[in-house]
Amino acid sequence: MASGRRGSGKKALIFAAVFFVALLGIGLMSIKSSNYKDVSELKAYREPVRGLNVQGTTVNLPPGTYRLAIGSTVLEFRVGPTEAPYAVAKRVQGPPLGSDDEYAVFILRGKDGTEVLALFSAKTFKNLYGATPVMEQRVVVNGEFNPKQHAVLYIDTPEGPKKLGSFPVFWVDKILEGCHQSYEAPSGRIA
Amino acid sequence: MDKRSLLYAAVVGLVLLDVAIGVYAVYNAPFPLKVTLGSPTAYLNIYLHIPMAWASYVLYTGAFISAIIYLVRGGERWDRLVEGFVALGTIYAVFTLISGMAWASESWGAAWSWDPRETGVLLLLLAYLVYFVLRASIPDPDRAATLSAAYAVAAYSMVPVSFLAPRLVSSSLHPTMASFGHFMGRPDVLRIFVPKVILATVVALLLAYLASERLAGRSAPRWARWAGIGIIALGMVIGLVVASPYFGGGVERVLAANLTKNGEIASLVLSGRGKVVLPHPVPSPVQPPSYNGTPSIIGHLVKLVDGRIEVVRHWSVALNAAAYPVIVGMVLLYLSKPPRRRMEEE
Repeated sequence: MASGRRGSGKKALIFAAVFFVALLGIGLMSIKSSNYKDVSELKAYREPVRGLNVQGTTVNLPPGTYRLAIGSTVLEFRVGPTEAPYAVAKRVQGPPLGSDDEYAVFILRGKDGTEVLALFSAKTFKNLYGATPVMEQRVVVNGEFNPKQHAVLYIDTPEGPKKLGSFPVFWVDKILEGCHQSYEAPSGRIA
Repeated sequence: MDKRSLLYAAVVGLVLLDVAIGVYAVYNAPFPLKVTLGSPTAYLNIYLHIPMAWASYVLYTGAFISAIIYLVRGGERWDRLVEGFVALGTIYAVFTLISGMAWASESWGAAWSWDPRETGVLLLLLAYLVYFVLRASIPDPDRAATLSAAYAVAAYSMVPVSFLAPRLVSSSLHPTMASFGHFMGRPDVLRIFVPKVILATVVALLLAYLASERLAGRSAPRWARWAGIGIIALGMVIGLVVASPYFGGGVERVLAANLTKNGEIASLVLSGRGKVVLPHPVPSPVQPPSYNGTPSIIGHLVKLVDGRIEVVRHWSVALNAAAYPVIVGMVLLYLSKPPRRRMEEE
């Protein structure tokens, strides 16, 4: 049975302390590197990439009627009566984009102001979040980023459609919601 | 009854009490009324997942302290305690990861997201798994004990890393203590959560101690085996009962709801069958019935039974409520196996 001779034990303790510090450093670096990518880091990609976890802040869209052109497909959505961080857009022209004809649309902004336009299947979105969910200002999304695909956003004005911008597209597979807001809600019970 | 039998009896009693509180929590504990994703009942995992996570940290702390004492003073007892604490800590850390993943699949949209704390606990687990490999690979028992104790001290660095992980990065899906404390500070939450954490930790420590006793060749009383089997069976029954609404299908998510002026539910929009108008308005099974003008039932998983709305706890709650007694029962079962005697130095 092990007895633990004291001399070698103290040397081992010194070795353990050094190793502790080394492992602590490695652990801290690993955690720091597991931080989610910011939207601003998407600029580095030249080719489509899947399975990315990206964080950004949502941009509030002013009230109005919008049109979104992705290739030859056009989607339309309305925001109102107040500004909102997202809307559900319906395909009105052109071929389908994916498995759905409706998409939750929101613009994500990175730390340096870089913006991407995120699209999330409306069916999945409503199924997970309900009919009119509240979106946090800061979100983390998982999905595919395609720097070669751009969405052009227009808003209807009395003078005609006005181009708001061209955004690279982020196809959302999941919204990885932080649960911080959840804990600020009052408590409920099942009666 | 000798002291060892009394200790086993105390453990079994505490486990049963802990499981009872867990079941009470599943059916009666409060949860956040409105959540950003998924079923609010998934947050009942607060009372199941977090106590185990805390217990694993305490166990690894026990291993850390025992390892230092062993290295400074020697003594086979401390070496056995290190091994006992690390073994139980590893079991609890595995449960923490699995229970967390089950919860995250609903509340975070994905079972694994490389969240900083998720990553930290995984690193912690991997670090301590190396302890067993190291110990088994050294033939000289003295050297094995010394080196593995030194490693147990070093591996403890992963505990503060995983605990502090949400603060080390700009975005984490795990809440910080500040935002978490807002909910957990409520008296109706604390009165269930605190006893759960204390019991889970005490049970974990006692099991680790008993594991170290078994390493010394001191066996459990014969009835401990039956107690272990009974607790495993209890866990399975609990899981089946909590998950029973899923059997037979018909579980859907509430996407929208219409309330009458006095807060009763008149109709629902469900994820499967769409709009359902109830034969007559029914009281909301979730209380209070609304929050900021939004019906509280939205987001919940429900089953319509004879015009009644039954709220279904998310499957992760059933899994985690069952897994805890099953795991503890399996540990008891293992402890009741006749031990192999190690070579003892006179």
